[in-house]
Amino acid sequence: MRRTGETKKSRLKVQAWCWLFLTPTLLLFLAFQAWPILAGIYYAMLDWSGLTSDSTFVGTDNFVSVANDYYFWNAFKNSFKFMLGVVPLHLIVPLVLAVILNRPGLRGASFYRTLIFLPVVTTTSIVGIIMVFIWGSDGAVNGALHGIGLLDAPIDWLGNPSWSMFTVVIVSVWKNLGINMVYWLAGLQSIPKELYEAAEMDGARGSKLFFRITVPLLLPIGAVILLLNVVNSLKAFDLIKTMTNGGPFFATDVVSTYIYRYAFSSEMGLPQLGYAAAAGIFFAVTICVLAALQNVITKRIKGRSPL
Amino acid sequence: MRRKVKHAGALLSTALIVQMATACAGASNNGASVEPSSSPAASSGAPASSQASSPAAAPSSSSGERVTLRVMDWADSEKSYREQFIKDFEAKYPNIKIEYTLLTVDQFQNTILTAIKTGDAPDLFPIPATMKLSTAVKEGWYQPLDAYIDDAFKSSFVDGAFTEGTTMLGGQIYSIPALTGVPSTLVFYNKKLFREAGLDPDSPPKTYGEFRAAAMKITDAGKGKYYGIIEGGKQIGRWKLAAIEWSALAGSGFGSESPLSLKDGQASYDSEAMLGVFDLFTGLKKDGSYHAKTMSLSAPEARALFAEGQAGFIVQGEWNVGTWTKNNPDLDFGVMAPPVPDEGQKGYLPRSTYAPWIGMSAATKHPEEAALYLKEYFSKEYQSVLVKNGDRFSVLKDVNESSADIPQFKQYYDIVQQYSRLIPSVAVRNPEVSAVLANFKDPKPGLGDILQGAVAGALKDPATLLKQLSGQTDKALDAAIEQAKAGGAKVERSDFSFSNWSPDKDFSAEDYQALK
Repeated sequence: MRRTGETKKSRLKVQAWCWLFLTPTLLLFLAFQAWPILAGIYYAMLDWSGLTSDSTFVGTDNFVSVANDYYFWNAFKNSFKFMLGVVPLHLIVPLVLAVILNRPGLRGASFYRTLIFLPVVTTTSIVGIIMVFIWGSDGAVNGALHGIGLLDAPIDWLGNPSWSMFTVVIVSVWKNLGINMVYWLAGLQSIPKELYEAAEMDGARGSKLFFRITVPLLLPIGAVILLLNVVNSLKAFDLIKTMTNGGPFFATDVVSTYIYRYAFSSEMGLPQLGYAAAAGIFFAVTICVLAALQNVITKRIKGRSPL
Repeated sequence: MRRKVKHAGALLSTALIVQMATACAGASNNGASVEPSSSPAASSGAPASSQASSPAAAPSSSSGERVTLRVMDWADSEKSYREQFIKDFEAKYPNIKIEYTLLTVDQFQNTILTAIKTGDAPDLFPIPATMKLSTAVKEGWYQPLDAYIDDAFKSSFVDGAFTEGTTMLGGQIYSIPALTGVPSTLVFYNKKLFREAGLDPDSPPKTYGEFRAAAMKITDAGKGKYYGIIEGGKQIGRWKLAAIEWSALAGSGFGSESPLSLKDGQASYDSEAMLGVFDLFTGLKKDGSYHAKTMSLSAPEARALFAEGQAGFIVQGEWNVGTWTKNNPDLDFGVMAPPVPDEGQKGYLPRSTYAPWIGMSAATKHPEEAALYLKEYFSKEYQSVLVKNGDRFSVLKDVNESSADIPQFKQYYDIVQQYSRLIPSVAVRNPEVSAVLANFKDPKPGLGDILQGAVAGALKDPATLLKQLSGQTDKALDAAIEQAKAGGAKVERSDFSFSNWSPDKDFSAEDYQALK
């Protein structure tokens, strides 16, 4: 009897310590995440420019207007177009590179790794600005394609609505190659070597090793990389803002640039912060649903994984 | 349970994504921010205030106490002159130290809001471009200047600089304009390229047809090295301004002061005059006359490439003259009026009443020193430095005539006098209309978006979109009027119609009177 009382007491003590250590994070979370979210929900119900102190409560009006705006759905569609363009490439290309660079005995592996990782540490908006020059109509890309005889007339990669989305996707893939490669490398290095040795003893070679051992064992970490990339690509902002600003004529306009336009810029009247907040929440709810779905899928994959 | 909490946490953090995206937006690159604002304004709109004010208070320079005066704005084009101005000012008034902060337009808007809310507003600051003076005064940002400025100071400004509804409210001056807003869509052309293409630099094209033909000739002569025309195509605002001002020259009746046409009192964005401008611009694109980089450039970048001889034409404002004269002394350029329809000119470029610029913080502890700064800033000495260097046309009387010595700058001024007319201001006619404009929500895509999209080749049928824009603008204006009425403002849609407006005449104070 006395004993259980003591364990209970010590357990409480442990819990108290846990909470104590959690407090700083919790406070930061409340101040900088929970509060902005709640405030955002409230702002979404206001007709408010964000500049003045007079705001009118309009209930769900902003949400209705957002849902009825053709250009919001255009941006919504583009966000997913961008995501669908970027994510498969973000998964496959870095995986191939990681497998190559993970080979024991490859000369200069760390040099190549650094080279591929370099764009990751560069500021995205700077990359965007530089890329405007490189992909410009008289930029290096057109120059190179012309030089090797693939192009007769230069392509307007960013100014042509049929090419602009493709261009931002490619630049985004290049920019994020390194970080995804590092994720994959971590996954590859966590696979015990003994498994390969055993398989080789059993006579497995090359692609068989890859598809029978590497791929299944990488699936769990693959699911995490997938989640990270889906989320990151849906909130893409700086690259698109600097490269195309959503243009030409909304061809690359994603939800974040749409929100920016309403929240921070206006031509004749004041900005519409309430409306922008509503668009943000509308989109956030969609992402939440997706995140929840993905969680379920991830668990299924994890459940099947041998690790 | 714990798992649930974890899930909730994950969901919440994903919900933050969009917030984060918008929060970091302020730091992003914005081409428009480096472009001097083209707040149009002009002379003799309405009578200047005749209200007598108390003589300017003497500055407390004798007290020996050292005062720091904080000034914040986004006037980047005058940076080097301003630095010298501040040095001279501090030398003249050793007890005053100027702490000057130069921001971009976007940075300014966010910074000033935070500064005012935390009681840390600079002593002198301009009004953000999208804000109406009445709103700012209602919010308690500014205080009247009348007690600190004298009649001599006021009368040194051109007529119309101080007008009820724009820079004055309730008979008191709250703000001083910075520019003589002249149309900023005149055409500069490269004389050297003109000669190479076999064109006569002394008789630049006058009509749409001639303009297109000239641009094509230059493009052909350039063989990929230079093109007919270059623009800061990334900047929506530049496209919008070109559409409004060039269509006004073709008789659309549009101006930057009202979303409605002065001609018919309607949001007639699909009028013949407007469609003509669209045809011209898309025609230039079809001819291959646009510099290949146009769509990815900001206005300052386009200006730099023009100066390098990469294009024959550029549609720009007067401040370019100063920049080119200083940075590109070899550039041989001329300035001409925008082309008119082949049938001839049907209207004039719109010139608006003066826009408010700098005002004194309601919370300043040093109003007298701040007034002293204004006095020196708006002195003939400093303003003539700006005019002489081709930075802007001044708001002071006679300075433009006496100080402009760059030929193209003078020429710009003359063309403006010949081709532009003062348009009526809804806010001057009925100051309560500012409540409408504060509630007005821009329909998107706007005029600039549509013209940009049409030139980029991203949309086939701009006419449909322009028609749609007309309908949406009508609706948005009606909604804003209703909202202003509900807030107690005495406004009517008829305030936006001027029956006695004639496109070829400056709209005068008597014209406003006649409407009453």
